Amino acid sequence: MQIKSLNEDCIRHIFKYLDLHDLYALSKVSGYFRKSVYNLNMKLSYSINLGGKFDDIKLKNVLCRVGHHIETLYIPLLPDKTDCINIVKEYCYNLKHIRLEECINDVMDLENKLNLVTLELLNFCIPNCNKCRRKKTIRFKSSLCESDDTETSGLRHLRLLSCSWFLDRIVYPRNLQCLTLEYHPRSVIDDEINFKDIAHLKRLKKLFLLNFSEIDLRPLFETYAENGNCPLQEIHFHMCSLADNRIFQSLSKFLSLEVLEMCKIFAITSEHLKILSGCKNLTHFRCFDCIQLIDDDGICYLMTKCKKLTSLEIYWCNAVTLKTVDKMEEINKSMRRPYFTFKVGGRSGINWNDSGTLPTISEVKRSTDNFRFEMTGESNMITCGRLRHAERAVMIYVDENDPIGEIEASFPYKEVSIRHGEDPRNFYDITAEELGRIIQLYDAFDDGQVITCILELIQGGELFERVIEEDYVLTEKACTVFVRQICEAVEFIHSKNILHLDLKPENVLCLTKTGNRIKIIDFGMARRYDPNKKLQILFGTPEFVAPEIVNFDSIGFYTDMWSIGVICYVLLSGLSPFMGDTDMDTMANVTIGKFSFKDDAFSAVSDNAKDFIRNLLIKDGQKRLSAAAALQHPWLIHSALNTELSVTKTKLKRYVIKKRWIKAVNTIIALRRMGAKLDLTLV
Amino acid sequence: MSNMIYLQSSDGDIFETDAQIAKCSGTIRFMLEDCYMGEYEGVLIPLPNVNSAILRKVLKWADHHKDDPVPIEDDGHSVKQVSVFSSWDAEFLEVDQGTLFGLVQAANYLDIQGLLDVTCKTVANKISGKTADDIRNTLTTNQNKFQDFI
Repeated sequence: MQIKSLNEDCIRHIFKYLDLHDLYALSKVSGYFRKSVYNLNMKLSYSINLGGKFDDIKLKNVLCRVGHHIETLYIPLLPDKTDCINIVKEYCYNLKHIRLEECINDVMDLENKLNLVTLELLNFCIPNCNKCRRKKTIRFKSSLCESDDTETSGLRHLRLLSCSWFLDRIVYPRNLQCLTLEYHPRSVIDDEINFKDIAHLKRLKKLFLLNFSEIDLRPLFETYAENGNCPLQEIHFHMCSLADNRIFQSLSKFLSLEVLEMCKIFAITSEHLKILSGCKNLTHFRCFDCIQLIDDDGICYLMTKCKKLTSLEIYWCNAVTLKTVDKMEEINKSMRRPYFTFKVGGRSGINWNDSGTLPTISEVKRSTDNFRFEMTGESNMITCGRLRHAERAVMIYVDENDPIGEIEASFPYKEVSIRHGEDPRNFYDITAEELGRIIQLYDAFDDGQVITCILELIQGGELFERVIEEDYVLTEKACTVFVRQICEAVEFIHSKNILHLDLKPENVLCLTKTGNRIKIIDFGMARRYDPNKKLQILFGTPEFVAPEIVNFDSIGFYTDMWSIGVICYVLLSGLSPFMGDTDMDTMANVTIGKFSFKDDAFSAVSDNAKDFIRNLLIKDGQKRLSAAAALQHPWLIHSALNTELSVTKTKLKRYVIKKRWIKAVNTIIALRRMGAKLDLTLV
Repeated sequence: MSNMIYLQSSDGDIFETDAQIAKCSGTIRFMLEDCYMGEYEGVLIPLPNVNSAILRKVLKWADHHKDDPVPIEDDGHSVKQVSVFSSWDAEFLEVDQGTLFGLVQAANYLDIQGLLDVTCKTVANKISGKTADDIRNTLTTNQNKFQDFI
């Protein structure tokens, strides 16, 4: 057996474990390998270091064979008089991420030719700086076609560190998601830096600013604040001098801001924190080396006002003490946040104990279910702002697939594989009793902002929709089957001291399209009931609410039973016993509590059934049948007659259609109120 | 419960093996579950692309790894480094190149991810860090040194 006889799939698998040099070596072994190295579309990403190792000829030899596999390229130091950029441009046509250091060539040419996603430039300067400083504008490919909305390529991530570019000369690519800028003495001539273009980048989510002064920054943030629609989600300041309240005031208007990091901003005070508390969506706040101007007052204020804040990190801030932690824990308790993390580090807490040395982590680490406090020692902190920054910036995730054009809200669907023929009880702890008649909650997640519930799948649709289907034969016996199940469900929840309070046909679903098993859903109004305490409520669906709700009297288990009575009445006749022209009429009819069985539809209905309804629709709640007693009622115990209720079915159909109609009308009214224009010719 | 099945190699030899062990192969698993609808006691599966010597090795490997946890998907970052694998695997794969390539191909055909990984890593290790001449020497065995087989 020879390597030649392996199929392409195997070869690809082997190549996966090789690096660029190995591939290059392989391509020289024989024609077979040259071909397979060249042809296999591997989409591997390589970080290669071109510093010193390669001269141009060797580089060309390597890249012409394997360059197209490179996705990530890191060139630390370019030798003088090299043609490297041109070679890269020619052969690495799948390049997406590039980092260049000390580069004097004009890399814009590179960017214009390739579909780059990330461009990082360190110590970059434009050749012949002095000559062109007044004329040259730095343009990126995607910034050229400003009117073309279909443009799908373009830089998403741009980092310019110590570059002697004139920051106001850059025409930023429109699709930037992440931008890092550093102030450098060389990057400014005499006029001030113009940040206005940045404020117009609609997709910019993360902004890193290094070494800027507030005079430089203020115009940017003021423009953002004026625009009122700032897309930024993360802002990181490093070594910026910020003391001016105006910048913080602008920041506080950024409602999209979620993450804010301030490193080595020596002048930040509690006052500033109070202003920042205007950022209502702030979830993470990190503060480095802010000396002692921040105190309990500011921290606690920020924590109280920013309700979404879940993580606060303060390093090298002397004023934070154990007392601060106490206070924060208390605030957290009173605000009932799902969780909160507070981290301190560096030499914060000189007052931790008398000796002044830092206690070990185990001494101060303390957590409750929803409050976590962590303290890191001095050695864990990296003090150099730049290093830390660089580290973080690399971690940034840039979404290459982010659609260009309006970002649509995606429907939060999830793909699950369906396990056939298995009992869910093997996976979830549900007893047979609970599997019964009410919708099951299998799991729930809370990430602090969104609560996700995993519910049972019920496929049959609404009970009434099912019984009016053409092929469904509605008999009184079938009605008893349904009503018995409703009573069983209600008996179960009542035994757990829970009132449903919104029982109505829409909340009774069929488990499957063909079976007769039902499920009670929508516990949105349900509440725990203590028989010893008076409970009054004012909600429900007028057609089905009991008189005690309309009258705002105290309610009880019997309130649900009234609703069952109404459901039963509708199910047996297709008529709603108390329905009036308006909700007010309906509620008036409910308080009067009079109903009759005079309609034709009841001619086929047995006396037992009528007696059952009579015993439920009693104005005095105490006299109504309880769920347990209802299950003992002769109508439910003795099997009812198999008489077909054809009149009822016709009326029920009308009832359901009327409901649907009302629902549609209400929807249209609501839509029009919200400003929707309906094209009635389509209807 | 032992559920024995039979595998027939390209040479016509028949191997008896436990269905659970054979199921480490995606191809066989698919046949058993989809073609025989789960009732596969004693069935015979022909494997025309695998010869007896290789199949014997594959079954030995599968038997040793039958209790392995299900492999986690590669996240695309860890594949670069040629990681160390168990000493048993290393010893198991100390075979001549013909057999090694045979195992690669069989693992690919039978869809046994774990075996494909270790065999490919072994091949990659033989190539990695060498010059073109070294690779040429490595991949050319004595008997066919003079044939341009690569």
